[in-house]
Amino acid sequence: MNSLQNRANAVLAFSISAVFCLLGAIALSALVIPGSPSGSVALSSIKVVTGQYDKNWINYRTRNNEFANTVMQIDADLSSLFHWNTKQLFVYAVAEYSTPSHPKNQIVLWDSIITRKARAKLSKKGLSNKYSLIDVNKKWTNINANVSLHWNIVPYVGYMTYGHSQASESYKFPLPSGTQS
Amino acid sequence: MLFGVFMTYKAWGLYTNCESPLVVVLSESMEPAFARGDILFLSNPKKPIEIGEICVFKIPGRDIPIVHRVIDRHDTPKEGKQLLLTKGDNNAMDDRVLYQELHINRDKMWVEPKDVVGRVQGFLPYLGMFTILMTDYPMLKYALLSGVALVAFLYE
Repeated sequence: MNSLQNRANAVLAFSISAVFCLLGAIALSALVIPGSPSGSVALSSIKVVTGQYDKNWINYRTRNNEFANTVMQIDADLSSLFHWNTKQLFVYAVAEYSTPSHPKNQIVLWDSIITRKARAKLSKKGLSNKYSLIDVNKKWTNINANVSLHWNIVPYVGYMTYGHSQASESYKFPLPSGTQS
Repeated sequence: MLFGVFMTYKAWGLYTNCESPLVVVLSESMEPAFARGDILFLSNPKKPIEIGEICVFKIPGRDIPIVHRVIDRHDTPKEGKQLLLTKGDNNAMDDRVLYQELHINRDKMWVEPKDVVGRVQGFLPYLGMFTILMTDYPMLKYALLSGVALVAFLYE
């Protein structure tokens, strides 16, 4: 009845249940811990140049694809999003625009992984886009875009949550002014 | 008992609209968010996939699904038709190289919602290591099974 095996089994079963209840409570707590994140992105310049995407990628083999080169300014204070269940923040600046063929388009311009609260205050000037800003139609004429800062909270355990700042003013893409080197 | 677990899993799959609502991370491409052996909880709702969401998708002709983040999104006027570009947080390049690796996909520029088998909603660390160890070292699986059988045989 009270053999060593029975006791070991009971202790193991109880500790497994206890650990899972605790993990569940931690996961749920992350949803109710308040945060007051703030952030903004602004573009200080946009230039459009034509160029080749990559010779290996067949669909974009032509030379007259239009790329936008932007210079960004990012200010954010996301330190309040760091609590006991925050493993990392994935922060990304997004350009959003609409074209006649595609009503909603979003492209990540820049991203960063933040793993410490001390690094969660961002103040960046003169930031160039990290990823190519090229539309599906490969043209930027007559398109207006706004930019915003998004973040994804990756927990130690539990739910993935997302948030974003308000969108910036709308920027108009200029006509192409040169060829990409 | 096993039947109950199986049925619960299948019911959960129906609820989340995912054939397999649990997956184990097998690569380092999403470090430091997800490490090898972490478990991801998936669902596959009908609403459009958002930018920055982490999706599990299958490239036609490849067996192993990929778990990466959406970095470009272009919605067409047709409902449920989106063009998505993905990238692993820990990779320097986006995933076009992966999409086009097989000759049949040499023109594949985008992942589409029909390729997506799940969207990551939740996270549980480490526990998937069991399945990784068992696939990497099949002897461990047999040892464990025979151990269980031996205990059951001796004590029942």
